[in-house]
Amino acid sequence: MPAGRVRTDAATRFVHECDALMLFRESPLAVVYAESTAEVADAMRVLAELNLPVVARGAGTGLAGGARPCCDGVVLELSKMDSILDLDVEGFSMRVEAGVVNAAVSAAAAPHGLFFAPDPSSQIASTIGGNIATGAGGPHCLRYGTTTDHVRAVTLVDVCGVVHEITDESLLSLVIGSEGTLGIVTEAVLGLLPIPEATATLLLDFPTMEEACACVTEVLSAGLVPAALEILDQRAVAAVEESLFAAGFPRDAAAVLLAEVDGTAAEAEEAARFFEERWSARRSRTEDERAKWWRGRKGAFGAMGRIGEECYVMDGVVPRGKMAEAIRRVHAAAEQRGLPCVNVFHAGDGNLHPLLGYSRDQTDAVAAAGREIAAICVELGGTLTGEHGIGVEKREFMPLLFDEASLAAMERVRHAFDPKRRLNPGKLLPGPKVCAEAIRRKDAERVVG
Amino acid sequence: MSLVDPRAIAELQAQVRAGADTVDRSALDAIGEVDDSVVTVGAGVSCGAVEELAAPWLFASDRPDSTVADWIGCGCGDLLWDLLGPTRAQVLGVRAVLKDGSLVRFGGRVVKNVAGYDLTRAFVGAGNRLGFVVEATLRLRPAPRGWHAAISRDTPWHEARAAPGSAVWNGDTVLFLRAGESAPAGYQACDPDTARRALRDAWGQVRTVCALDETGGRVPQPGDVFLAGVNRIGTRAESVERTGPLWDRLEAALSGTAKR
Repeated sequence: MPAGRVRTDAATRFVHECDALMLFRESPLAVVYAESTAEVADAMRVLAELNLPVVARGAGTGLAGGARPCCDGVVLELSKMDSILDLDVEGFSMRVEAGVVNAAVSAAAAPHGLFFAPDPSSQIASTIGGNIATGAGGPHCLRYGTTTDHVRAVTLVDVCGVVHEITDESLLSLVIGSEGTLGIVTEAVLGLLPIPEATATLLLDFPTMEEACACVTEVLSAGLVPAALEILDQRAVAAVEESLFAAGFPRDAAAVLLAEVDGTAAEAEEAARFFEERWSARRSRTEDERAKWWRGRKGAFGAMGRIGEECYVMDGVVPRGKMAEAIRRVHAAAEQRGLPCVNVFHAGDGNLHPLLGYSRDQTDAVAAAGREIAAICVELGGTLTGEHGIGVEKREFMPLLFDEASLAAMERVRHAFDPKRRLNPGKLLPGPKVCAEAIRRKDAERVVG
Repeated sequence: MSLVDPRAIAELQAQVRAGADTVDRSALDAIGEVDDSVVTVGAGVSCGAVEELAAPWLFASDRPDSTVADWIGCGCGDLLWDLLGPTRAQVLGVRAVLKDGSLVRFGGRVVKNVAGYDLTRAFVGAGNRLGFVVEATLRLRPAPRGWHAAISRDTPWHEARAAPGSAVWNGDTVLFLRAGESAPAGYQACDPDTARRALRDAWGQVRTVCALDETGGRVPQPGDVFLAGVNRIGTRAESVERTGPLWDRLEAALSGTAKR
């Protein structure tokens, strides 16, 4: 690697100790900055010879600790691989490097009337590589699907440094959401969609969370599939309105629902009227107002600095009919431990995002609340994560969801791609405690020098 | 909990352990209740039965007579892509007997799920190479509020693919179909049965769905179906045999033959 691209200084290692899940930290041995697929392949071959673990990282916005390093390994930083390689307007696709920021894809496609559908709240910072690693979603996935529905091909560097082009949809499904445990995705061909002819955004407020959740069921039962259906509870609205993301959301409502409908002009108009007539929804009058509402929604996580020194953003999914019950139980789990809790979530998908405020002396309490919330989601017929991934956060919860045979099958898949378990060890699947790997650190430090 | 009769699954496991390459899944015919726009069915249930059960929600397969197992194995039933998404998006979870006879469950009953490897979608379009699906949890969608169609005699295929909805090109005319309450300009309302029959007739011939730019320069043939807006095409060409080192690794891992 060229000079300066392998760093072992304390400052560099410190800023790579964790991703956006700051509950879990470890200092890597080194950080390697790759700038091309060829460099990633070279690095992987060297790391294979050295038998060192590798954790790929983009913007570090992951909320499940998927990019948390391991103490005896190397972080492979891909954020410098940020080139858009090709835009095929006729083919509705774009080839990008893994470090391209999500929002940059739609920005580059927009002049051609196209957009990239997955839009995680972190989209101004999170990278396509990270989106692929976690199977990222976002508010508009209700209508358009998640990352896995919009990736046509990837370039994957395997654990030995061999480069593979993957277009097979079964393999793509396997790689997307695999959290860097099967290989390092360095490039991707993304599917783009035509920008809808018309869009309308509506704001609804409800006196109870139950009524807000019932609205979601009623909308879908009526044959509408809005682009997005997002709910913020009262505490979330208060935090947003006191922040620089203030959007004019009503503070007195128990729940605010942000709905977006799109399609042809007639489709969007009729869907918007449905909300207006049934719930007296307020339609955004200007593009500025619409943008402000979405800034409020997408900035909600950022506004949560107001609820505690630190903020733990959870991710779980329940059947839509169980959302109100889940929210009640989530609040109880947090309150029992003295933790403030707010909820901002993708209601159309049943995808909850409880946010727990905590101070540094409450890490045990917040971890316990997290486990209980994960168990609630599974008990209600849901799952551990809808878009953040398992990471280090939930790996030990996997037996709540999967039986031994199913976990063993996943383990065999992982082993087939990475027999020595050097790719993002300690993530996704339950296993030996990661700190056991610290035993190897002394040897590893000697190797790296 | 098993929806499908555990005895039937146990029998199938025994057959697989004895080395069977094909299995009869017709006894796996249990049908669960539609709950929160999701339904779990045995792999031997016909797609047509699922469609009937789903009403008023929408489930649409290209081949109503085929079983859910065959439909998943084929994986090319992207009928009504604009409404339902690709076939993979309609399968939320599977239970399957792997080649070593073990019974596994991947995915779940919710519409968003990234817990663990997405082996549910890996099964879609994989035939029986990864194992035998015995039960599937399917995502249903709200039934459209209306159907609209337009017929054009002067639209070339490369323009047809940019239309909203689906487009069927027979070499001469293009039939455009769009589900939804309102008609795009130039479209007329048509009854749902006619619309779906037209698409199904076309999809019944489809063997492969791929991105149009991945056809290797192949010129679309009469009868091809365009999944407009997503640049995908359903063709009569047989699917490409899946091969390569990564496929081999995946297959070996799930069959239990991978070296440890």
